[in-house]
Amino acid sequence: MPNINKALIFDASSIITLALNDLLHILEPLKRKFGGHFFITEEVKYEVIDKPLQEKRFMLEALFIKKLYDDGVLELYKNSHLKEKTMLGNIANLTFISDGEFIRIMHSGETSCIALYNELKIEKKAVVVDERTTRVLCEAPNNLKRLLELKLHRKIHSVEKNYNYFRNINIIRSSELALMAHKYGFIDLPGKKQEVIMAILYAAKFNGCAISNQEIETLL
Amino acid sequence: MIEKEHTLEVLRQAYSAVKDEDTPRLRELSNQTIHSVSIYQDPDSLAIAITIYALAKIFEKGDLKESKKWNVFMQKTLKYLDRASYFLQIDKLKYFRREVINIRKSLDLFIHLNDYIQEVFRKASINKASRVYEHGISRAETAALLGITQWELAAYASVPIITDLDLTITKPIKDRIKFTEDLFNNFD
Repeated sequence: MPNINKALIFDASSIITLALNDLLHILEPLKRKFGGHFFITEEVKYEVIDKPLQEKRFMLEALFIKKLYDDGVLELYKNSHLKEKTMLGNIANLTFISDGEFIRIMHSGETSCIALYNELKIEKKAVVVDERTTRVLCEAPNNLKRLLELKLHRKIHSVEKNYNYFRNINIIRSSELALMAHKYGFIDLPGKKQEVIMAILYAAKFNGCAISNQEIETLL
Repeated sequence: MIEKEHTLEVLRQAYSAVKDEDTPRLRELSNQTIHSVSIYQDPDSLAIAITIYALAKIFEKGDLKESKKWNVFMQKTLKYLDRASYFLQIDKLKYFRREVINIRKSLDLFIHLNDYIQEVFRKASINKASRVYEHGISRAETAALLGITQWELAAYASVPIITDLDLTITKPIKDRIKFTEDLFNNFD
């Protein structure tokens, strides 16, 4: 593995958002601009390439992503000894308790990204994740606890020492990447700047990116 | 079987709703098992939620009721719901699960609608998945639980009830954008 000084680690959710919005093309120029690595884990590769290639419904999108992978834009971080991912998965799923039962909240795909983030001993890095639970667990775990209480209508207990494993993880979303792409001219669309930004953000939102109306309106 | 009493009540009410062909009631009942699915990842609650929701969608397809096989379908469905309740009551889970599967199989009567019925169950799974995701479970975990893909769940995961809660806004977006800009900045 060549010297790594900057990296983005992509969860499946963010790649899927870009694919469904026909924005995969921004990744190559963004990577050149970034000057670092765009990593995916084996679990994420399976979710965005291997699995959809076996089905008809999203096969075309999978082929576009495969091209990015074959061209080296998305790089598989080959380390089957990412043991921490298993540990993190266990910890995440042993954090919130309802009626005496632990609630399984995360899957190996998501925890593999966190494990890789921790594995990379560099400063300039982030996980690119659009799905909400991973981000809230990392940035505001008590909010996730409160969310579970609100939705399950019952008291949730948490093992707060487990929060430490998910602290200090830098997280961005496909929405922020798309904004960078627009800023650098990689998304060239007719219309006023505000209109295009609004279109980009709402497209991300309605295809899986957990960005709120409130956040979008803050920018416009 | 977790939350047995609650499930029994759902089955009893589903029986009445099917008898009355009360579609809104069936949809509502399918949502009532989602708490169990979210907390315990209980496959039985999941199967019931999907099956009842799928029944609601089938009832919505008005022209099926014109079919000569409709009455047979109704009789079978009511029988299987009744038997599912009975077996659950006496803790015979293997037979309970068989009866839930039989409800789905009763739709084979409408063999010419096989593709439609498969699509109904797929959409039922996606619908229930969006409810589980709404409860706080991650998207990948939800997709794995419901046997669907994150791709299918993506659009359904975007409804305001999931994305627009204050609890899910964990950082000011301007800070996140600034951080992203700094990441891309190569002039250190």
